[in-house]
Amino acid sequence: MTDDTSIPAAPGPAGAPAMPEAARSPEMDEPAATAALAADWRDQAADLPGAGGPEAEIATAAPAIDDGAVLLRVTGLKKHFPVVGGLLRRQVATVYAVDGVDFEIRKGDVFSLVGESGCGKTTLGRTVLRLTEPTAGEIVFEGVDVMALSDNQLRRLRSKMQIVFQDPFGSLNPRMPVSDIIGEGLLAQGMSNRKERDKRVEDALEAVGLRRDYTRRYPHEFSGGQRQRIGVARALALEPSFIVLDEPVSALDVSIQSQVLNLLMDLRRDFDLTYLFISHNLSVIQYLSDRVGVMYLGQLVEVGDVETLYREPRHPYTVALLSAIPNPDPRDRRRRLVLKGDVPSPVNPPSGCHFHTRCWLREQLGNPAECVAVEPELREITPGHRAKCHFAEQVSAAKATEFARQQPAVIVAEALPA
Amino acid sequence: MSQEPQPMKPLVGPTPADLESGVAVGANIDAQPPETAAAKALRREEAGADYEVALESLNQWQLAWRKFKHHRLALIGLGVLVVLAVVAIIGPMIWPFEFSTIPQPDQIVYQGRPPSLAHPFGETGGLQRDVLNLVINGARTSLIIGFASMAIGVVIGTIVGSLAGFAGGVLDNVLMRTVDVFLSLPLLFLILVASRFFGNGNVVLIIAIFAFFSWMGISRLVRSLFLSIREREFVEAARAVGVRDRRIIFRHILPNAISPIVVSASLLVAANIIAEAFVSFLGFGVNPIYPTWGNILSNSLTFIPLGNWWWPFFPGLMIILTVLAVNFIGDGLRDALDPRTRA
Amino acid sequence: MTAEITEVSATLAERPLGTPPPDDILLEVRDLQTYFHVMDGTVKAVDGVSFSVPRGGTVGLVGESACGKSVTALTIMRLLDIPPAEVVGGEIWFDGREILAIPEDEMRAIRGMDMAMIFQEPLTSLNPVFTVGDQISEQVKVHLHVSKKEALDRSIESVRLVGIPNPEQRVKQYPHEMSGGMRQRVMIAMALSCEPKLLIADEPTTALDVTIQAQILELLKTVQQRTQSALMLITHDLGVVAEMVDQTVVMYAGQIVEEGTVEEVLTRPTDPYTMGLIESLPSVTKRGGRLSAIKGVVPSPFNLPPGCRFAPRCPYAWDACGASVPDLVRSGAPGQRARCLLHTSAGAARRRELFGTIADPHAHASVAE
Repeated sequence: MTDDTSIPAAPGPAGAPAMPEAARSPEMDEPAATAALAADWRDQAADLPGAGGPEAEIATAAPAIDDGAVLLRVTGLKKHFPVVGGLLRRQVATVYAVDGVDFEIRKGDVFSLVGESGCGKTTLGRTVLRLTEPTAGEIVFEGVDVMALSDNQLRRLRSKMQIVFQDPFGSLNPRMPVSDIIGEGLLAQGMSNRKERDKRVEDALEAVGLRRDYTRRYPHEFSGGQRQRIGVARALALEPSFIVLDEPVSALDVSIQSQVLNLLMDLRRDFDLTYLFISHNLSVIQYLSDRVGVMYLGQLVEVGDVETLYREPRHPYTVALLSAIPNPDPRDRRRRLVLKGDVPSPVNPPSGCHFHTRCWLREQLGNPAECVAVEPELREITPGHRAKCHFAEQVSAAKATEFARQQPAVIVAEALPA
Repeated sequence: MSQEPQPMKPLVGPTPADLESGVAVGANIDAQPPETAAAKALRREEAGADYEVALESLNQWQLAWRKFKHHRLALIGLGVLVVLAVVAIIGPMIWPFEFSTIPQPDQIVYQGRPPSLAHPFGETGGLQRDVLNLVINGARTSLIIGFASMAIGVVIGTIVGSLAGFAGGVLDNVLMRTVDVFLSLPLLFLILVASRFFGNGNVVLIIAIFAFFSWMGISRLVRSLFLSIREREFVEAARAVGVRDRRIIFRHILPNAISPIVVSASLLVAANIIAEAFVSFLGFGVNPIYPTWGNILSNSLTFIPLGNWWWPFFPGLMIILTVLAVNFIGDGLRDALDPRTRA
Repeated sequence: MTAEITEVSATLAERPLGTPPPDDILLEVRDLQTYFHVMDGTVKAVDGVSFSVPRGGTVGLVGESACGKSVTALTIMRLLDIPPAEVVGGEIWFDGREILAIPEDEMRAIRGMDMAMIFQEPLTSLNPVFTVGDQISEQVKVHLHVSKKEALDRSIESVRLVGIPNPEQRVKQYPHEMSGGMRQRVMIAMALSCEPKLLIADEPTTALDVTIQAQILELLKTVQQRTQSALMLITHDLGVVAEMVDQTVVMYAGQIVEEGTVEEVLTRPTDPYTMGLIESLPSVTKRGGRLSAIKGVVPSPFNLPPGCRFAPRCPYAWDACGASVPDLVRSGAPGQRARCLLHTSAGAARRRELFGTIADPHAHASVAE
């Protein structure tokens, strides 16, 4: 075993494919430092109870997760909001916030949902927990049919499925001390013993990197990143197995984001957690997800594991999203693929394929009729990779570059003609 | 000597601190041993948990008091109100109103005596009462009516508003239509009629009647507060950990609704004090044998053309001062309780 | 002593106060200090900031929240409420004139005409009770003194220039009838309607979705190139600044901590804060591994550390860092400066100590991957 494999090139659950050469971390080219680190870890690991076996095994072993087990399966999930109006307050329109979504999350994975505003990812996160009641669909969590649960049973389930919110300022009650914010979940779950609750609260605070004696403080005394940690502690105190993370770092400064991301990944390892990570930030998603689902106007338009999705996206929207990320390397002066027009309203989604009003591939292929007339299926393109496009096989980097090159200088703010 | 500064190497790879703690940048998270003491320490460092909280650690109420103190007018108002309250409570004990005393005939000056050293607020005409005594005793009744009716009105309004705001649907509709009906009634007329025929001069009943006609504004306010706070993320978060509705109302929504309610309540006190003065002035209020600022004013009416300015002046002044004080306090409270500003 | 003096770069030279900059410099901010007086004390929001924007050039102000970048822009535009704010010191030279001292009505003539600003949240920056056309026309009429009809024509033209189709209909719409991206285009149209020499954009795309952001950034680039106006872009997003500007300035806690061309600063950063910022960006190459995070939090403005303001969080700090605030010194390429003692002769020993342990520096890149 060379030093190179003492820090494995392939992170994540055992059995995941190795990363392509170009993407390996620079640390791996540094024998001296990494050998020192590996030696440290070997020494520490040897002290752990139950540790043993060859050094390579300790270094490459992932936490014991059965990565074949499906923790959460969602089928046909819909959430429609009625729009009432008129004198008699009848329903005049519907917001199709989530419109038929299927996916599954394996235990120990980080499954990310990415999309822009109006795509329904936030609603989906809440619906999966039944924080917002779904209009239709099936949710199976750890084998339990969540839709069939009574209120009391659902409440008990809350201790296993938790959520961390986006806004560190709004998600904490300004009139409540930290001990109550974190502890009331425990109280609601039946832990009436005050001492026991306090200990759990303090443990949770410590786990997120804050001091145990912060329990009497109020939210306004903390910074944004620290408040977000309190939010994480609140979710963690209940010892869940699954956490929905709704844009947990979007409202934080960049330098704080990496702190909190480190924290989330540490906690995942330490507490054996599974995450549904919702974000609009593709770099963050690329960094920490195992599988990604791209959403547009309430539907999943592409699902796959993160490497394939980033290397070979199969949906035109995904291509546009990836192209739109501003790259912090100023030497990269490629022309970006810019979509025309605005995101349509979820009250009135376009016919056929919801994306056809902005689709560059449709324009390039000469406006084929199916795009407007027939809604495509989310079909499997390669094993484990699904895309919702009639012409998914024709999506390629070459075509995208070609299109980007031909774009006019000023992109008109108007959708494509039907 | 000048030197070409060496280009600094970029910060990639473990820093000295990282090497010590054994938790390195770039290193595989899953492969690291969990929760060593060094890892914990690094996490705490990252969180900035040990940094001194630079500003004083104040809770919500201390912050509010600090902001309140900066409002000079509000502080003055508070001072005035405190003095009035003390006078209203202790005054009548020290110097009670003796409604059965009738002065000696040779003491009577028909139009009363203007303010003097012995009688700083002057003496009334007719029964020759000391106006200061009247004002002090009247203070107690007027203030009690003002504050008590506010308290009851706020309680009723809060209950109605919370029910409507939290439950929504049919109950909300029914309650709010009721409020609309109440608001469309000619309030002053009804207060006068009710005070005369049901109140019968009894202070407690008068308080009840005032409360009965002043809860509507509060209920609308509370309802809209409930509607908006109910949607805030921390309420959703509480639901997400399984907190039941009752606790959500009392521990989440109400504490955050208190500020606007308090401000509204202070304005209600002012309105009720004026209403009481008005009602008593018209003779529909408290039994006229007990002084209230309003009925002192009404008794003085016929004597004003005789040049007796001090009889209505001082109770009137008291009413103005009290209402001003209460309004200033309300202003100060509004700023003090605003959660957005620290200073 | 001599060593320190020669380390000061000649490119962004400290010109003595009172003398105007050369003609090719449109905006020059010299040693600007803007403080806020609040109940808890005095916040030194901008504490000695100097930079310049050449005519037709692009400069980015990069930093996280509370670093003072927005306050700098507002001070340049003189849009601050003077109590509690106070411009304690410094000069701002715009188009050959010092503008901090001129009376308000002269400043009003400049604002909108020669200098225009685009704000972050277009919904709150546009007046909801006026149509879009009215708002653009108002600006045109005030500055160009043209008739109402001509102002409207110019508005329609501006709206067309920013890529909004059917401008004749669009100018009659209200802001709330438009999407976020459209509103931001309207803001840009408004800012450009009088053909300003300087465009200040304060986080113009932060509130927008990423595909709309791409549209707006492309638009801004094109428009800036066509009109040859200078651009001062304020953002916290390193990707945006990489794409849009040539020169950049990094701010932390009210001070500039690094300056240089955008390529130098982002690919070969020399200040520990900039390095930390760049390093902490998640990317595919860091998968599975711990992110480099800058530990701690931004210091409270009421309790700034003595000496270097970044020292408590800096992985390279040593005792000298706490003694006094370092000056900006030359740190790499000509024109690149950093506020770090490691680049002074005093820091040479520490530099050797720290970086002697890491092997070949060119195996590491910062943003290239």
